[in-house]
Amino acid sequence: MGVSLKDVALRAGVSVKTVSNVVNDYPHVTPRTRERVQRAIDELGYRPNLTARHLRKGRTGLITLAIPELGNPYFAEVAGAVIDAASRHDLTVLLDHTAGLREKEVLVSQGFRSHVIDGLILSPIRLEREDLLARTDGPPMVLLGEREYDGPFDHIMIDNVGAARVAVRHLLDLGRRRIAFLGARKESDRQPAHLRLRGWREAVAGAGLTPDESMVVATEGYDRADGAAAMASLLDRDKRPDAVFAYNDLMALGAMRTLVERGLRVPEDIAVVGFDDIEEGSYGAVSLSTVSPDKAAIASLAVECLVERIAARDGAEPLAPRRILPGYRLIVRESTAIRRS
Amino acid sequence: MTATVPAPVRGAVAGAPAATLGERLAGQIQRRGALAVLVVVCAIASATSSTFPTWSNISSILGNNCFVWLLALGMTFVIITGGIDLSVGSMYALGGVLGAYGSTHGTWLAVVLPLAVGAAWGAVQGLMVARGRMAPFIVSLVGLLGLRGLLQAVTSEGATTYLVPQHSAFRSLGQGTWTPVLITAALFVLGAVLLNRTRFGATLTAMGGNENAAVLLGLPVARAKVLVYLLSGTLAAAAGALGGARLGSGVTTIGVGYELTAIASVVIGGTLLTGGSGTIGGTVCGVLLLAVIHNLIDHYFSQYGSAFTDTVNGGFLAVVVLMQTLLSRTQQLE
Repeated sequence: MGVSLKDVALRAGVSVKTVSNVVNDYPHVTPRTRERVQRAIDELGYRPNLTARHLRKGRTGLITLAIPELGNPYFAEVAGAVIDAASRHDLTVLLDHTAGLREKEVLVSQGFRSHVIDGLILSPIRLEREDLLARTDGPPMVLLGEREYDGPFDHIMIDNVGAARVAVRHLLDLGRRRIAFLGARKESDRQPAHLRLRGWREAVAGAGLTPDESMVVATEGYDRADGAAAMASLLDRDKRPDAVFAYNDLMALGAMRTLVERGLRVPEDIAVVGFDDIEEGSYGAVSLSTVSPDKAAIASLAVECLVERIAARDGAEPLAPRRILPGYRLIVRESTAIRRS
Repeated sequence: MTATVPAPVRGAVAGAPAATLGERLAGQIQRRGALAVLVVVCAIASATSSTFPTWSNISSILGNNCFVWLLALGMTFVIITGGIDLSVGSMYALGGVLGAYGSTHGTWLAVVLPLAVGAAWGAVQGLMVARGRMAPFIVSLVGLLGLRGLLQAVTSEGATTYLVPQHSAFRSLGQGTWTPVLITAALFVLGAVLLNRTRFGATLTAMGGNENAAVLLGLPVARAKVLVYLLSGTLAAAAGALGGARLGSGVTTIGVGYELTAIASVVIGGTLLTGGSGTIGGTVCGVLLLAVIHNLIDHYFSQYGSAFTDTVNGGFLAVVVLMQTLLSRTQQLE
């Protein structure tokens, strides 16, 4: 049988309420009383019953992070950063996997098992704006990731168009002129792939070139195999690219594998830039240049926004929806490091 | 400070003989059409929807949109002079980033910096239009592109993020519903006073109606033009900064196409695109009408997808502008 507040109160000779005030760090307790209560707590080894506390306060100290792919190192790294950020706020993260399916994302956004969690960080792939507008109930939520939603939702996403422009301009600066884009999608124009493709178009057009749509390869998925297949189909066409900007690092790694198999050199024959800055990109035979989103900032901003929103939940005035674009940077490694000769 | 401009230069019906009843009615509807439609739309919406007339819905319409309406306020002045300002969307985004950047150094800088940049660029645009005799469309298109470029430069294409500190007084300017609404309402009232109760306002209407006549009357037309673009630029930057305070950060990708929404609100509010006639009250009705329509479309049509909502939005806009054109044509023919 555990030690209760009542036991501490008896030992310290104060009321239960005073012990509660000390435990919860409320003001209006004299230092002497506080010290006496603290000594009683230490002697008895009292620890607050978290379950009871959550029942009283309506908080569980748990938040959900729902991501589309567990196998993608980018999401694994973001999840790690979110768990770190959450622990700084004494929150524990439950990880949920949506497989990028719209039904699953809708279910999560509408507060599936919301009585267990205080809040939700959702990184959607196929969730539509109307799904969010139709959301009447559910836990406080922060959207994460690169899909654009125009509306009153807390959203943390980097500027995909700008970042893609920076990556493609880097290739143009190397003197490359036939720059391919791997990983376009046929679906909604709010998808990140579409935004990165727009950045590709803007950078190419900005250099005074005509964006060559035959250099754009659409794929079904985002994985290494998709990148390898897309690269192969690109090489089978008449015009060979001299540089490749891949939708993400996984696809870039797949593409580089195809280039090795075809006997092409990276970056001499074809320079490659990816997106995400996953760790394995640094350790390939040829290390991968990439756009590196500030994952730590993304995670801590998401958690901070959520914590604010959870705290404001009981307030009279709802919190204004926040929208933040965390930073990114271009990391140049061997896959675009040209030894000019 | 009362208007000293002779009546005949004002309005599209200058010099017309005594107006008939039908003509006066058409004139009233053209000027108050937006209000009439707004009332009808709100009435229908309240009757058919249980969520529309709730405070949480109304406060979300007001709180989340009202800063953007300031673009339409500035645009009203510009359009009354017969001009146009396409730079306000880009200025809105730049104002947000400058405000967020300023807030990291103190609230005063968060307020002063966007206002100064907005006023400076507005004055440059005004000088190019008034002294350089360049077309407002082109001059402000330079603003639209150039300011967006400047924005990309100061943020290294979105790679640098400026966050408004959590406990900054600046951030509280954008919080809740009432603070944004009161700030916006106060600026609209000031705008109405400026347009209706000052010599400056009368000059604008006069020069929009007939610029040569206004010049011949000895009105300071060139100065008024510079001031109008200065006002529009300052308001757009201020709106952007306040928007940034609300979002908690300078969002570089925001504001694309906002200039067109602002122009649409002004025109729906009964201000003539050709200049010479317009009211602040009309613009208020215009922005409210567009916001309510948007809210209703989200409510009723969102299940059909965002492409469809945009189509409905465009279709509605076409109907309103068509009606307005027909009304003003009957007016001029008679």
